[in-house]
Amino acid sequence: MRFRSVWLGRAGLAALLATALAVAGCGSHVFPLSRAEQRYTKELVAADAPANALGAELPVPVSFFTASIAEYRRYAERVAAELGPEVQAIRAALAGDERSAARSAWDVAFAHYLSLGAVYGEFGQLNESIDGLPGGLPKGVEDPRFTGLHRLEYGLWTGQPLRGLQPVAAQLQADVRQLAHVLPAVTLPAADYITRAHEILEDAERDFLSGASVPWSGQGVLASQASLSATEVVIHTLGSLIGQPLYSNITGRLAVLQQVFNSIRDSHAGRIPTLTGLRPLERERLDGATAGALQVLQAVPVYLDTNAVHPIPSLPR
Amino acid sequence: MTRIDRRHFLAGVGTAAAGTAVASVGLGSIADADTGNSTPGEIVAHDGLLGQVPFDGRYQAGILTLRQDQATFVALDSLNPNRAALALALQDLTVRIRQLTAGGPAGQAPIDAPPPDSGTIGPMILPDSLTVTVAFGASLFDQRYGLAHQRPAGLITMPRFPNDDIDPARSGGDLLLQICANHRDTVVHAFREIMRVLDGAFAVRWTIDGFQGENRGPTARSSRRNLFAFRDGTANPDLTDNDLMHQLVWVNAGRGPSWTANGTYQIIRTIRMHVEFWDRVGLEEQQNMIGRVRTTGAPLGGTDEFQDPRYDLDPHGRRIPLDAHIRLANPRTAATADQRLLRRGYSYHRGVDSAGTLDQGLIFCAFNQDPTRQFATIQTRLSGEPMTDYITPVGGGYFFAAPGTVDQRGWLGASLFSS
Repeated sequence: MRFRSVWLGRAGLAALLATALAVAGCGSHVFPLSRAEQRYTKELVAADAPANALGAELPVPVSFFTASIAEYRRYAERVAAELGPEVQAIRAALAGDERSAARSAWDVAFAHYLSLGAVYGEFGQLNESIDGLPGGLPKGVEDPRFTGLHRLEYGLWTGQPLRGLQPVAAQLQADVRQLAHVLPAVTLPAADYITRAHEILEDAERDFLSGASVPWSGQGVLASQASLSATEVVIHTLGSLIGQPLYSNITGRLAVLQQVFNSIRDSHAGRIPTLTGLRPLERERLDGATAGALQVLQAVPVYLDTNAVHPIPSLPR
Repeated sequence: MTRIDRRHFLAGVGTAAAGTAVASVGLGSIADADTGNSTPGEIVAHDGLLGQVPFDGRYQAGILTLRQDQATFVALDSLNPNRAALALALQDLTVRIRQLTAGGPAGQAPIDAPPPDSGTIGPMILPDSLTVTVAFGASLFDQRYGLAHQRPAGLITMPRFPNDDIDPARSGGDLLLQICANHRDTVVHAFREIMRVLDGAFAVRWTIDGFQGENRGPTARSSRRNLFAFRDGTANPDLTDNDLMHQLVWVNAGRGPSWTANGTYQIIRTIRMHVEFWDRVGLEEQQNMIGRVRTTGAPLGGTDEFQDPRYDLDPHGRRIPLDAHIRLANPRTAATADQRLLRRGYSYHRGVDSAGTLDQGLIFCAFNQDPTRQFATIQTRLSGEPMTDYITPVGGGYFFAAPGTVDQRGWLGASLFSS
């Protein structure tokens, strides 16, 4: 009955949040309820609650998210600005024929790119160039369209000559430069942004903890930690809208996950191990804390839904 | 439950007429086993154990056959040194499949010899609607066996589609066996017995077990649910419409190499479903991704699973989004009518992966006349559909299911090797 406790908790805290918003100058809105919650609370109201306590059935206005998204964009621009020098470090290591240094530099750039989090899905083809995997390409790893960070990963961890990777890194540098250029103009719809609150970590569980998207380096732990960082920023920007106690519940779960990363790092001499380098108990804790965080994060898109309920038109028989 | 007299059972097996419908074994004496009056020499059968699908026929069984509950797909690589050895192995395979699908006594050997049958389903093999369908992979038509000029035109290595993450160790193969039956133990037994015949001639390249959801109504016709909880297979073409099957499924004489007539292309896609992620998505979004109501299977806005979604009345996608799965997969227009294919998929559950998440999904299995015109066209149209985030194709392949054996003198692949 996990869901029930979430719903019941929110039904009660809606009034508190409405008060908070009113104090913050958001007018006389009664806090709008998500669709699922509307349906649920309808039943609840009908059963045993005063009808006016939960008020109007409004979706959350999109304008409520303007400040949150702007804050996230500033964060993303700072991250993107750092990518250039980080890719330059990869190029320097390749030029010096230093594989170990090139791998370390790749780790930094890769993790940093992933910490863009909420916006990396908005770049379209540029994201494919920077972070695309070869799975859907006709010639796989040999395909000329296989470029960017994973093309470097493939070369660095499968013993390819470093000289041959230099053009790949040069192209990556051009791409991240382009990224910094387009980022200020990228639109991030409120509905997408809210969904990112859980999707970034969903992707981490699906792609990084499974190893599917780090096939050669095995840097799934590092990648997941970067995803957590991005998630923390999203949640932080949405904090005033999410309200208590859900916000504390979420940040508590994220803190548990961060502690798992910290303890893993501490027990591996200050370095984040690869997936195969994890000890069995570390693996269980990491998987469990991620799943635990996701179970709470799934409430955010429901809670902050911006779409009005539109009844589905009937299909003529 | 029914109780069967052993002699009558033996008299009945193997006499059913050729065809593809599930036939009940001709039994002279079937008694209700619920009375508990079982005596030695009698076999207690229940839940379809007596169902028999004739093996010999114009078409292979297991294609138009009503989907049995359990399946195993086995891809094999040929180890045969030459063409003659390959043909011999296929003949051995045919004989064993014919025996297993007909049912009958498992056979005996001297007490000091290994028994001829593993015996895991008892001394009397009940057919249990077992079908074993054999298909050839593109790689069988390479230079090894001199079959290159006989390769069906559409039989190529499975192309990569966007979002694919195909593991070579879980895809391709020279030969594919699709083993289906009403019960798991029958499938496992058949696989084990068949490998006793094929050992040395073929090596297993990959295998995957599937099941279909139980029929939980509301009607016997209701489609079963996949692991996203939606009913799957609603829009399948009518299996009993022979003309339609010759438009969509069977390769007709005069098209391609002559041996391919009455065969069909079999497409397998092992599709991992990220079910934890799916379970954390709102129901409305789930339904919009599919285009159907989860409970009833009706198209959105409708009340009955088999209702026409009437896209013509919904050109802007206000009822069913334009990128909903059912709308992209089958737009139901005159121009796309010949793209439809016959789906015969199974759900799979392989435990958990290294990240502790459920390794579940769909063994997409489709039969079609022309993969370029049908499967690949549909797959390309589905590229980028919203459901993409929740699935990852990880294996499978393109195969060609051989024509049937016609009668008991025939063997699978005979027309290929004689042409």
